[in-house]
Amino acid sequence: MQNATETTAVLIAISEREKRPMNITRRELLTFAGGSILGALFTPIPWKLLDDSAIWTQNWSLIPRLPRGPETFTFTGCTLCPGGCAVKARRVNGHPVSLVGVAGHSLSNGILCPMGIAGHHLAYHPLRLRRPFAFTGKGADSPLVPSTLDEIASNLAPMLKDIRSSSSKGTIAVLDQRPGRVLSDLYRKFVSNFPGGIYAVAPGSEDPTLTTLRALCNTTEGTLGYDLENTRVILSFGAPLVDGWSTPGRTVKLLQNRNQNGLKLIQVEGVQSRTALQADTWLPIMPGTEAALALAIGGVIVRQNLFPAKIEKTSPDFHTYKTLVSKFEPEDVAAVCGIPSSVISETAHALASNPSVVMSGYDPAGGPLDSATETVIAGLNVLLGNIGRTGGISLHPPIPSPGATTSPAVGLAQVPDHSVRLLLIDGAESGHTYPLSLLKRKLTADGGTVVMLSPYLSSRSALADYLVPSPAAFESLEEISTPPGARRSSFALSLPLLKQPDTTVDPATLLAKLAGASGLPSVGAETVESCLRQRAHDIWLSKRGTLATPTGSSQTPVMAMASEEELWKGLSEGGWWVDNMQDKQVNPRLTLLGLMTPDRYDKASAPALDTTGTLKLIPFGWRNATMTASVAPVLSKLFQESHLRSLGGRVHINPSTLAANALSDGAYVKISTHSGNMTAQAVADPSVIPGVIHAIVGPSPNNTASKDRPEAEGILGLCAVRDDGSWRITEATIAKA
Amino acid sequence: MQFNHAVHTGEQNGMTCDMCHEFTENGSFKGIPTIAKCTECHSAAIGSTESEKVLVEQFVTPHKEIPWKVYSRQPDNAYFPHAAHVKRAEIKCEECHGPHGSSNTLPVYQVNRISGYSRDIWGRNISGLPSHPWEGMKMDRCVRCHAERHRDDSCLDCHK
Repeated sequence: MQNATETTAVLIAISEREKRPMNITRRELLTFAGGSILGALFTPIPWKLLDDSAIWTQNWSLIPRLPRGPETFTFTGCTLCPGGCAVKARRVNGHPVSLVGVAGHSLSNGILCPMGIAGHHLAYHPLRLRRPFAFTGKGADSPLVPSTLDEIASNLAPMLKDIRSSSSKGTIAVLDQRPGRVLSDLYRKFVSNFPGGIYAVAPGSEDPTLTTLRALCNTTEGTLGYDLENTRVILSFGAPLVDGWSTPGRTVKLLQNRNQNGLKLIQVEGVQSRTALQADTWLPIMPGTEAALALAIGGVIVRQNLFPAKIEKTSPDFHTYKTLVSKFEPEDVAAVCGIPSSVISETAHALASNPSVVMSGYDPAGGPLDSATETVIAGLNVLLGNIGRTGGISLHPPIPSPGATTSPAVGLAQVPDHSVRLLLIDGAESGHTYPLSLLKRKLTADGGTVVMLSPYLSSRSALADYLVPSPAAFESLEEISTPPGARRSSFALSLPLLKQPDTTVDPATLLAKLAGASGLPSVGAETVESCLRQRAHDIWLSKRGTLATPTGSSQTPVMAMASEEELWKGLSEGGWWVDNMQDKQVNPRLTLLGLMTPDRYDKASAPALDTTGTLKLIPFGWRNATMTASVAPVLSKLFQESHLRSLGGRVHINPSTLAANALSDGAYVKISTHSGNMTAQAVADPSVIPGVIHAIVGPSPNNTASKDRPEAEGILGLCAVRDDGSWRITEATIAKA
Repeated sequence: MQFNHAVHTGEQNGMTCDMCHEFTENGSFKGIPTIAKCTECHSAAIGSTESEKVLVEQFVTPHKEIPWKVYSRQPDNAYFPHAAHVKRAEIKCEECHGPHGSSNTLPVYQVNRISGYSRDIWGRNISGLPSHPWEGMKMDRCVRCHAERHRDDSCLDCHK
């Protein structure tokens, strides 16, 4: 009975509990949620969702998409530097996606440097200028404010009229970064309308040896060029022959085929550069003693009568030169420059017994050697009878041009100090850079006014009062004129691959605007295209040369062309005009020293340096890679991951010099000169000779964030600029930062 | 329109992959052939199938490109040079694309609604575990193959 009662009670209790709603406690809920999350992690669902979502974020409508469409090819030319290599652009739906060299092209031989390969990216550079700007003051922290071309022209109008009326203390100058173009003629015409107007060419825009030789030859007509195709010995004082000299494909091909053509390259350089590595002989010279070496070589040639007999009669300063070189015995010079005397003699014999060329190097960041050194290097060519000789240096006719230009070209260094009130800087690039102090000292004492055409905000923009955006590479129709050092005059068009933004300003338009503001009539053609058509017209009228198809498959003499439209059409399809005129006669009365007096060489034999004391700071760079904005950010791989190229902010120093200064590889060092100091990272580099700080003026491809203020000048700000405009060597000390 | 790879690559015609999926002179890969390539053989109808009729009437005659769906289309930020893999490393097409070249019909193109790409990129199996070695074209597969071949990797090798 009792059992039955208990059983009934239990059943009632169960029944009552079942009647209650199910209670889920907070703990149970959290346990369930935690278990679900944990369990889900062991299924593919979250990982797949994560992956899909990541890809989904790449498909948002605002993200630029690669175009899809028909594939076409366009032949054009690279305008990033004066080399002017031929380019074959692969385009998808009209948009350029890859650039390569053009195999079979007679001038660039299918070679295109990494800068050119990524040239179509530069239009999208983060530091791209997309509208005119004005700096509100001269200070480094003065803000950059948007402006318009009309505003700039109206602001400049009083100054332009003032300069025209001769009541101004300073004058106007145009700095052409790439002379020899039709635009250059336009610049010269423009400045000739102003009293004392100056047309200056930027450092690095011309070959230093040829510029010096022009003065030694005392000639103004024609263009000097190297006949490297027939040369057997090249003595190069640091010219980067296989690393961005003139049109790279030209020298690279010559050196590749040296087993067939018998060419020998002797590289004189204080660092085992890429060119030195590929040279037949590398002469590691103590920087600053190049003049002594050139004079010692000249001495061997003179003493052993290795020069052509006519030189003694035709060179008015031969005996002065003979007396000068007699003081530079190879044995004495060997102790100073570090090159054995036997090698000096052998070099002299090699030069004298073969068609040869002696050239100096214009480093893209280190600039030229000093003028005294450049003179004796160029003078070796005169002594060897290389001028006007096959395999030497020729004087060829320039590109046909209709009118005489009224303003002569001068080098920037020759512009009188504090003479420029208004400076207009051209937007094209020579690929070289220079210290801003060289430019600053040409401006009037109040700092002058600087108008800068440029596609980008760069370190040079720090000097500008007005920034005018010019088209980036491959955005506008441009010309490719004769590269520096070329054997023949040539002309081609660089056809646009990208649409030019409406806000960019054609240089011809800017000149027309400024001419209008100063009350001048038009300076000529209104657009660059009309200038280029005029040049094609002049070539056609001259009936000179031949037009080659882009791939070099056929050539048509201009003489055989029915109309100038036929020539223009050929050029517009990527064709290349090359002159075929015979060389001009060179003035036989060539000087060996020009205006240099022998006493300039009294200190040519500087003593070797103590590696623990003052060192020699030598900036160096790679053409077109000396400024942030000139390098496509995609090339960061070249500079940062592979270390194929050196980045800015580093200095290469011989390990023994580092050790002597109690420094180690990778240490941050403070470099001090009379101009200031800066911190850089030291790289132990045995290829640099002891006693030298090889400072890289290179790009920072990832340093593209700031649009507010141009980046600091860096190592070039420490360099001492001499009166002749050179800044190659500066005394410096280093210490641990 | 249905496309039969096997008819083209089989004994009767004996075509190889690169006869249609060509490389250009500069070594770049053309990918999906254009209508001009089809027209080389199909300027007039060959046979009487419905697909052949569609090909000739709707695409070859008006010279209109066929809007092919691409099962292996990668995101725009992934750069894959066929030349380096096929010409230099001598990797067979089948190693990545499977026996596509001997198929009689094209598989149904299934799009991933979130990512917008073909489901073949992840692989048909949601677990990511392939049923066949050639299934899936995700980055892990690239990395694994490179590691097996002792190739150095860098982000910018593929992501330009």
